[in-house]
Amino acid sequence: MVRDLSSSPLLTFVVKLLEPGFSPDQLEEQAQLLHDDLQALSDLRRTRLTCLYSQRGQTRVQDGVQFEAPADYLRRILRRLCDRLEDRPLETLVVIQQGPVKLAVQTHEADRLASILEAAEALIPPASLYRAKLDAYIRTQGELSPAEEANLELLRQRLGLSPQEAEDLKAIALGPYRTLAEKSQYFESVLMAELARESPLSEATWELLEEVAANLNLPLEVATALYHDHLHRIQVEVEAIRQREQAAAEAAQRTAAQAQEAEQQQQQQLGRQQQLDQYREMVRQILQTTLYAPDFDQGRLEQARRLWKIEAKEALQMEEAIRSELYGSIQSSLDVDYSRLRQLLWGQLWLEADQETENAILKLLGHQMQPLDREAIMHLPCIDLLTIDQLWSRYSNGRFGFAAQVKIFQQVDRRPADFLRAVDWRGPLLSLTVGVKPYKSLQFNASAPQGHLPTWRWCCPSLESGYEVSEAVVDTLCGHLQKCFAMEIPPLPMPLTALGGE
Amino acid sequence: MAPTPAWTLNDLAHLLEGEEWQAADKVTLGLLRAAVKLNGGSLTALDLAQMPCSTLFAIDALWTQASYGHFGFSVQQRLYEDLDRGFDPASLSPWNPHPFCQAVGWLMLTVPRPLAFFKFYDFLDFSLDAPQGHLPALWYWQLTWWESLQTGGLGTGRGGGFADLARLDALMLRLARCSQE
Repeated sequence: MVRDLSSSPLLTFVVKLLEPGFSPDQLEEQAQLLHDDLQALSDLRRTRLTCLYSQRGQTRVQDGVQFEAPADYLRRILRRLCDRLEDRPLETLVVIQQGPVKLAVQTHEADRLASILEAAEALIPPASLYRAKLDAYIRTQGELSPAEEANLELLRQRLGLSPQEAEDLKAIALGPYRTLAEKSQYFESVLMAELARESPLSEATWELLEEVAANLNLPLEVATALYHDHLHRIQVEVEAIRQREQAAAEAAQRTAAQAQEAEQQQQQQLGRQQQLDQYREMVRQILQTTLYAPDFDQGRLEQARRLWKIEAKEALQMEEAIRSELYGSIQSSLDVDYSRLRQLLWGQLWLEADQETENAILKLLGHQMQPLDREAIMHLPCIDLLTIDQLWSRYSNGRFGFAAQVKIFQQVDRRPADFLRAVDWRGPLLSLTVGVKPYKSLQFNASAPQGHLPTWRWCCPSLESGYEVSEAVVDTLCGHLQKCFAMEIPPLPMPLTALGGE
Repeated sequence: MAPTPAWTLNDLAHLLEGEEWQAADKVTLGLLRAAVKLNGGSLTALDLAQMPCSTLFAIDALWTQASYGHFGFSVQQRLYEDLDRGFDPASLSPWNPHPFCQAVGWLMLTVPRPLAFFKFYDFLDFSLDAPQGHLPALWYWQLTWWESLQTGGLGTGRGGGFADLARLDALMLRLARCSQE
């Protein structure tokens, strides 16, 4: 902090103890007390007191102090010295010097010392003394209180200054901003300008502002408080803005993240779709040549399935769908599994396929595997009959299957007996067995007559003695099948009558 | 014709435990008849083809258990299937019966062979010394007077007559179908 002391002239004080009766130790002790006493004065707390020494025989003894102080401290310093003398009358030399003028007094009486006050004050130009007082008042408060005004008025009269002179001095001391409020306002405007440039203020800037405050005679505490107020407000504002910006940034980030996530998901789905397609293609290639993949290919599929993280169930469904696409669907209305039938037909194992057909049909109605009578035949579900027909038809190029049988039934004008002969299930009536053939004598190969297979063994109580299908059953079943074909429930992958007979 | 007493599986089990094979055979026929709601007479091929699987399984379990796998429907079916594989039904004639009938010892093995006359029922071997699958037999032997005559018998059931492959095959086929259920 820079103090503008030019207005208050400095006085040089020298205080020396001259007690010849004292031992050097005593003298030193008293000099130290004097030093501490003066230093304890509030005005002199920051003033450097220089110790004075003198030669006593062989030893150098501290016996006084020297210091500089503003003229307006004169009264208080002298009063403190007077107090000391009253307390303990020691022979003391006091020298007060202002410029070339020097005032010295040596005494041990307080009254005598007090009497030099007038003389000392005369050392100082009255205007400068008044100004010093004025400055001191203004420095503490930033403005003049009524009590201070009164004190100054008394001082003016004592110094013999004219009221005009005093007013001029006041105007200079107070500066252009007379009241604390005005000073504060001005300082604040400067502060705001500085804060607009940088916030918080740098050390150097603040020192400049401190100087402004000093020059304004604005108390430092007021200036600091103003600064902190503003700084706080700015910080609050900045914090609010920062929070707002952060929230905005977070929101933006969130939406960006969401968009990214959505995109990623889409890509994943896309990638997933590709993987599934790839797997499907692989299954298709393998199943192209065989109904069920051999171990080696099964291993390949399993590896691919694990690599692409496809659920075993899903993979199985996919495989089954492709198999149905390639080898005929095996849908059932009653959960009967036709995969074995398809496999047998695919392998051209006609006898086994015929047995499996019986197995499937007997299971369909759930009559404890009893042979079907006409009533039961009417209840065979069309979907299943069409599935069976479609499989037989596909693997025999239309030679076998219900559709082929129905076609023959129509060709013989719906005469059951002729139908039985046409499909070669009944031999010549004039034979030993009256035309009835044992089941074993039927033909289970691809060159069997049209409609020869599948047999309707599921309506026979016995087979070895003779495969006997009654004419009533022929009538019933063919009628039922015709109804089923007319319904055309599922889209069949192959035309039913793909291969013409004759 | 006297109404068939209402036999139960328990009766059959007791008789079989006591090795009363002939009585057990009669009760077996009674149980089969009851299962298809027949009061008397013979079991036709259709009757056999519609025989409830549970009845067949229950009776068979008792017979095989009591005879240590010597008698019972399942024993007969196994033999039948094995032998049927090499048999051509077209060659069936009174002089060439199904090989099963011979294997289970149902034919009169008197000279001159190979005539396919069936033994009279009382001459069957009702002991464990009989050939495997020999029993139960009455389900096959019991014929009406007219049926007996038709198969070359003397109105005395199966005895003295020829084989009736339809009936035999019907039960065997039934057993095969039941085992697939």
